[in-house]
Amino acid sequence: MIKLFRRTSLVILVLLQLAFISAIFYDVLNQFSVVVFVGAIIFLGLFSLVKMAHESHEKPNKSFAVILLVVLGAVFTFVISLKLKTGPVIAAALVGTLASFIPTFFRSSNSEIIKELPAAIYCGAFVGMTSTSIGASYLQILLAGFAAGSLYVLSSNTFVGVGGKLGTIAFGGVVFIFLISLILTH
Amino acid sequence: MEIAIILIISILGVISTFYVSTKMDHGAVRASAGLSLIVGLFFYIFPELLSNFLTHNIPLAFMGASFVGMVSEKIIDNYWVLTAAGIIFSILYLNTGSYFEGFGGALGTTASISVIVIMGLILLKKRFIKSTTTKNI
Repeated sequence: MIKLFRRTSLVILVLLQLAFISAIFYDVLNQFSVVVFVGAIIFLGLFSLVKMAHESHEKPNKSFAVILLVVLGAVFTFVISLKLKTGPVIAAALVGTLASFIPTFFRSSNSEIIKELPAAIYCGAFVGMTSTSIGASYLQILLAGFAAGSLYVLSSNTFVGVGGKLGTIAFGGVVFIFLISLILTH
Repeated sequence: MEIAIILIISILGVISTFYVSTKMDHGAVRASAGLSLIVGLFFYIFPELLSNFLTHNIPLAFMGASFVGMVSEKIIDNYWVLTAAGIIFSILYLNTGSYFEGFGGALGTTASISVIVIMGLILLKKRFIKSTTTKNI
């Protein structure tokens, strides 16, 4: 079961990255140099995924309450960015910085949730960086936070220690909800 | 010139986050979020200091690069490798265009692709050195 979770989340994260890299260079894919560059990136990416020990075989210990933390991070960031007009960078960075200090106040606690709190809230903050210019609403951010939170729990043992993992999870949540919204409205 | 500044900012974002996170022991989240907050607030207070392009892109590029710097010491512990990861990040960032503008997590995805690509290069180099050594023996 743990292996299934690990494999599923790995496939989701890799597909997201492949879709992302293909989409950003889609316009210029007729240029030979760009095709070579994208090809090299995909080759190196897949090569490192096959060879690199980025997976943990430990039993996942993330509580499902972590999903709630991701949702909280998303909503707080979205509200700060929108209402205080700070923009997404300051809003997400502020939420992340404040979250990083919370475990300091609970030093004596050995709770897994307290340890997990900064990363989960920061992951949610990336979801909350979604702009209203693409039609983001509070409900969509809430649902995207929930989707990202689920992927966060699912991918506990994948991409361990890889920078950008939290952002990829957030991106997955946002894309999933916007895709569902797009299908429902057409 | 502006592209060169984004490149330098990206490298600075990666290196400073990694340093604060691992050497100063603040943890990856505080290092990335804290440094991004300082950079973001600076351009929020002084919006006319640089061109519109730089005022808009420096905080975003720095924050995205800081995600690369959140990488574990167990995976990358060399500052030259981190610099290369920063360069790859800035190339991807500058070419992202408008496809995912406004999508939360796009910067993080760019960062994770940069880290995975640089990990691939390290592994490829190790394999090349290994095969050369075996041939020489």
